[in-house]
Amino acid sequence: MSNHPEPPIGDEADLIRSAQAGDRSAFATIVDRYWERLYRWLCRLTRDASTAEDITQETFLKAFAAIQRFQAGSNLKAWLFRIAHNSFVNQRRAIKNNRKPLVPEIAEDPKNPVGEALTKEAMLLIAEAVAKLPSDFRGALVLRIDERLSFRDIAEVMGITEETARWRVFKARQKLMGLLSPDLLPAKNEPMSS
Amino acid sequence: MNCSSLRSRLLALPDPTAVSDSVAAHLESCASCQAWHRVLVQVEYAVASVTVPRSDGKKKREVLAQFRTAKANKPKSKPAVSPQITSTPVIAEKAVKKSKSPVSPAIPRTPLGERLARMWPMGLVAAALLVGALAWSIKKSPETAMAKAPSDPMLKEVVAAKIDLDRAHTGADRIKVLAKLADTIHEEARTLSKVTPDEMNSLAAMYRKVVEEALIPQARSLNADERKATLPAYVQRLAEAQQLANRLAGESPAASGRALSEIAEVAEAGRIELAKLIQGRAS
Ligand SMILES: [Zn+2]
Repeated sequence: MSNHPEPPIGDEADLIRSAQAGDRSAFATIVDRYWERLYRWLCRLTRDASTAEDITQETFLKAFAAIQRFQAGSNLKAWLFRIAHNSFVNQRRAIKNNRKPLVPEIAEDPKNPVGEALTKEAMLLIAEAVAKLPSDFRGALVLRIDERLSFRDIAEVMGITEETARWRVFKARQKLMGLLSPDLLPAKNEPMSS
Repeated sequence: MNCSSLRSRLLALPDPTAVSDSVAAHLESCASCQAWHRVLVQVEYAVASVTVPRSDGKKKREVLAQFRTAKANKPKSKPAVSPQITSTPVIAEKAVKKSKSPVSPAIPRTPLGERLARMWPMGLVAAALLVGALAWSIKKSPETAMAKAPSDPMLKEVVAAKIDLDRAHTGADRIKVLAKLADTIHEEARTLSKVTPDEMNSLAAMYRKVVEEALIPQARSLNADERKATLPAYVQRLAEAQQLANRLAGESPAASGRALSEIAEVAEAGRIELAKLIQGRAS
């Protein structure tokens, strides 16, 4: 579902090793590789493009400062997202006060395995419903759906337990279904009990 | 499985399109859940289809330029943006350079204590940076973690200790610096003892390194008069450290408790060794 193919693991280990040994161009490759996906997630988390870009930049500078501490064998993507999430949490209050909310948009031709595509209106309804989720739930859901992170990695990114990560994704989906089902399901359907 | 529990199960799946046989069987026989499941899957795809504003790429270019123009392997100056953030790697690089071999990343999942042990011969700062990292980086709560890492107090202490060591002219001066560093690690262990057992283990290993491989050898290098003048104060400090670590070990969860007990043992062995040195009973 993600738009980003996973980089080969061996290649990434080499990059990290080089960056840790002081090779800045190796770090530049890491920046290049992860910038867009971090920016995208932060956009959805902050709902403000300029803040998302600032935090993306900050994330990579902090990652560079801390690259020696990155443990070989750990998940680089989760590590970067965690730094980004920490920065987001630190700025959350300021973001709330200054945000000019993003108007959600839907890709022109979303792939849909079910065959019967949702109407543009339904898609927008979903996008708006996601934007209205509390950021902790939205962040977890998007990490799961967009980045295909495991619950364990989501937990690592957000500094929570794996069970909490699973619960946040569960609740996010449940909220969305609660909001959307009346619009999208046949009227005879039984409502979801919580 | 009734419809409600089936739907709860679907909501908790990593991927709602990948269902177990029992779930699939229910879906096949229940039109209502089938429709509900279809919506759930479509919602997932709709979430993935949300676009975000395209950036002008300026910030990314700035960051990339910073790393691409810098001479690889021999960064001479801090990157232009935010000197606070970038001061750490400069120190780290210096430490690594001084040790004459690059810090090679450890084998995956090697216990951190072992990594520290391997780092040790390469220089105090390289090893200690790792400790600073342990104590203050990504393991901490989101509110206090990375944003504060650059002004990491543990890191400052360790770097300060390294600078003080370079400046120290006498063995007694060096002992002073090392004992202070040991105290700092001990203090760090105290504050972390109730939350992060892994970090505790690493701090215990670091404490052992500083006391056994730096402090005691320095003490041995003193002559008899210097030992009598200098060491009693450290015997006292190690005794206090031992006592405190023992007490905390009793109050902490098992994993942290073991690490604190190790610190207490190291402090005790150090105290006994120093006492012997004062009495001239050890070489
Ligand atoms: Zn059913």
